[in-house]
Amino acid sequence: MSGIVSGMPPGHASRPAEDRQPATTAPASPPGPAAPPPRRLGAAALRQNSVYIAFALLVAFDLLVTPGFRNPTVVRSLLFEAAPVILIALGQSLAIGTRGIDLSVGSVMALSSATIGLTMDLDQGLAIGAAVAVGLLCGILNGMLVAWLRIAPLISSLALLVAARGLAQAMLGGARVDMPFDGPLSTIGQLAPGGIPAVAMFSLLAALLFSFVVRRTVPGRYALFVGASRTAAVLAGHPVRATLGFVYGVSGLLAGIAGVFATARLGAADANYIGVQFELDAIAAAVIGGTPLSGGRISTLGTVFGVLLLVVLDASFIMNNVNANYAQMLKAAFIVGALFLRRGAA
Amino acid sequence: MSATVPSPVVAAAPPGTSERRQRIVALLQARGAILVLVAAALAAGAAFPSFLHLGNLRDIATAASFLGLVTIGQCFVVILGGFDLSVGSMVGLGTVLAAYAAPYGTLGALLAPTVAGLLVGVVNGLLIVRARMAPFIVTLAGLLALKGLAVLLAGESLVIEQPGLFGRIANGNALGIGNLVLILLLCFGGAALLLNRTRFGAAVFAIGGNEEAARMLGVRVERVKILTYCLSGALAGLSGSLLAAHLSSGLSAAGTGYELQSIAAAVIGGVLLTGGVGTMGGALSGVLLLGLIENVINQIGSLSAAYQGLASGAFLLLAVIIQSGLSQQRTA
Repeated sequence: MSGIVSGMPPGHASRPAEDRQPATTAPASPPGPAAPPPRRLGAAALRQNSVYIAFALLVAFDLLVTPGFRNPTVVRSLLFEAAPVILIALGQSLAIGTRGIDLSVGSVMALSSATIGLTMDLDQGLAIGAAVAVGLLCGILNGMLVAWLRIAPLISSLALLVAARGLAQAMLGGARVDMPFDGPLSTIGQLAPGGIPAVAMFSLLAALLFSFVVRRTVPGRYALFVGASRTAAVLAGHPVRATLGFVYGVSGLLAGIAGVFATARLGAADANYIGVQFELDAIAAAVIGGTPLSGGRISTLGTVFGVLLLVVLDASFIMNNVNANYAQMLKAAFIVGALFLRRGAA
Repeated sequence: MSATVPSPVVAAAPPGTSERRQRIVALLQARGAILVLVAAALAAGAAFPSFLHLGNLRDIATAASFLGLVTIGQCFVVILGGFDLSVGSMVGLGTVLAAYAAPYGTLGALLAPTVAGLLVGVVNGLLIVRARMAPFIVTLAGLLALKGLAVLLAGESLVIEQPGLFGRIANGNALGIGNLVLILLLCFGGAALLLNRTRFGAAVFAIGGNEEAARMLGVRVERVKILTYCLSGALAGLSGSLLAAHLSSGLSAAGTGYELQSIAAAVIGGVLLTGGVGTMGGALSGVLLLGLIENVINQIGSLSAAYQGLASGAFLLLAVIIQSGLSQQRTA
């Protein structure tokens, strides 16, 4: 985008009027000149950093008010909970960055879990690999539907949401399959060196890598370009289809890993429980974190903090004994409020 | 902005014979769902002799009527270019409100959920139009909030002790085809008239086709949008009310998944997610097709309910792929 803008010749350059009014043309470009600049700057900064501010306020509130929040085991279990959600929220923000959406992530987690349930008696390492591969396959299928058949991402991932959950339930026959108390899976579900869960570290590393891919690599830049304008990307000769395939493949892969994490934490494969409505949390986290639904922009750090915010919010409700139904309404109001404040933020 | 960029697929002027092909493709896109519905029903009838019994067909239509009412509203919203994800939770809340209102009279039990749905539609519409928030996010929050409210009011379920007239409205059998089916057909007929024969319907199509152009032509975009979300909410509420009458109870979990199923039914029926295109007949066929799949899976006794999701998802996928192929035939 910036390449296009900077490449444009300044229209006034050859005119004689340029000598007379060189300064007035430049500041006229930002819209809404009526508001005084300092206040607008403050409000904009507040909007752009709203997720961090909200997170800091919530944690401060919990430290002061919520009983037992300071307990390290609480922090640890929160991180265990956040790890898979961070992964799918990253994939989600990539899809949203291309002006798409991936509703299938929760169901793909369930399918990954069901795969573990079916194969873990053979070999747990194999089961984990198979689960991740199944996630990747789902993502690639989704990407092919979006890129080559030009189906709206909302619909293709919706079909996958319904079908993958159904397949997962059919695979396990609706039952919960408990896993053995030892082996790689239970290690994933419990390993926490220094009180910080290994899965959380993995998710943060994945976020770092993700940020690098989005900012510095060709597929990442292409993804944002497609999100900014698919037509422009096509006309510029960029490989739009391969890019979309890559994007949804990544989302599926991350959902597959998230399914492994959630299964390991639960201690059982359960197609009815794992990942239910996680797609909604992932979308909310990405959007609250500053990835607009209109595409072309991704905030990795914002997405991670968006997830942490939602996870801590859930925990705050539970630990303060707020009725679960009030909690759900408050959460909805919170999401709408956060997005209302964000509206207009660049 | 994008208007200045020429479309990458520039259609060469088609030779004369392809004009007829274009018409056939357009017809297939709009009416294909009806053909598929008839074909699927005949196939199911050949496979399971009990399928084509009048009683079974009536059961399918009755079971589909609740989703059908929701789909009408969803159809308007999608043609407008938006989504309404709050309808499923609104159905659940509607059953609960109907259960609360039933002891005070049948009219109240029918009106309370409908009016509540209308109000939810106003809130959705205002947030989308005035606060300029994405319909997806607004109605997603509605999904969470209304579900919470429904559980809060009723717990899991709330029994209607003496349904009386209220129950007979849903379970009665006027004209031999069941009241619910009658209501469904009436509502679809009314909606088709509203969509195709009124200024409001024309405005909905215009906004879905091109919002800016509609605004410049003098369509009152804000008002039409809010009214459309109201229609969707009210129909979801009515659906909840009838479901409560049918079951003699309010269930907070009722309607779960309707938001996605109604979008699926509309899309199967030829409503384009990009807005501006769709028919009520197609949407009705979509609803009945989903009901038919459910019924057939129940007929195959050995398949568990889990396969229903698999079959519905696969079917939706197939429908969308065909739709997309037909769309490209039309433009290319």
